[in-house]
Amino acid sequence: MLVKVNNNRELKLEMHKGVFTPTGTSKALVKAVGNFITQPGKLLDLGCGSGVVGISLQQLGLVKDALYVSDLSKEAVDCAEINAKQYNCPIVAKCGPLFEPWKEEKFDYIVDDVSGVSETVAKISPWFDNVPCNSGIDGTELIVQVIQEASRHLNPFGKLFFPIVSFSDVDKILKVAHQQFSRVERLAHEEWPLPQEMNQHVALLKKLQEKGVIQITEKFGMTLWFTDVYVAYNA
Amino acid sequence: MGTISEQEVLTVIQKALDLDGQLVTIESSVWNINEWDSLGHLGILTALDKFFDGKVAAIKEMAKADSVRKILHILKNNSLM
Repeated sequence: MLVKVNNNRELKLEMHKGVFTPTGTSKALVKAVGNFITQPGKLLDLGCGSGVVGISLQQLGLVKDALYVSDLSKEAVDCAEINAKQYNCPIVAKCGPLFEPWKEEKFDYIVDDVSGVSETVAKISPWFDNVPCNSGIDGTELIVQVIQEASRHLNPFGKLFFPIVSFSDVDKILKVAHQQFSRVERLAHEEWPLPQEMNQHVALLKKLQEKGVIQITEKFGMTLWFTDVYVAYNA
Repeated sequence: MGTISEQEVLTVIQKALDLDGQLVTIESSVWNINEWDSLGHLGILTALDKFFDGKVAAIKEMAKADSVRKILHILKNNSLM
């Protein structure tokens, strides 16, 4: 898979079966974090999948020494290691759920890309083919856990970057973020048209929206969803 | 409105597609610009909506406007140019 890191650089990354294929959300995350960070630091790519986010940021010169990555899936961790090797990116890769592989470790930057889509939406989406989505009916279970535990793994003045996809309870996630961190800022907002495969499920999506589980909008005669990218500052 | 020129709209589309070197013209469309895919299309519509102070989002025909010529036609029909 070819990934455009910026106007001058493309990465050719291997994708293995059972490993999440990067979506526009990962791309939006790389772009927002890449524009925000000015100093390289110790960086963890949490829920790394193929390693696309961490390796892209390393190629942009924003990772000090080794890139740290982890994922619940062994296939994903192996895939990230192979991709990192291709680009001479020093990597420390571990397999395990969320922060469990990093008990004693602290970072300057944690970039979260764990699944944050309602399981109901995941079932009708093209994104989770042979890849598990354990983020609950409202898509918040994993991301809320990340936000609640992140400060224990951040150095002083460290930063947590996380995307919120509108196929989840956006308000619930933001409420937890504001409870855990004194400063939370939105870095990017990107809207996307509904994937073609999901157009037949608009009625279901509207029902989920009525229940407050997701947020979609109608614009230009299309059904749109969005990704927001946030940064939370550790004191 | 009515004072917006075609060139200004072309510039908005050009910026929205983030093209390297290639110029957007009245003949540009999904068929001759690689970057004009579904995301590129949404980028164009979002940029136009911003440029026209939120007046484009409600125009349903915009979803199927797959060329600069069609976009200009729709904008004119809706009295935005």
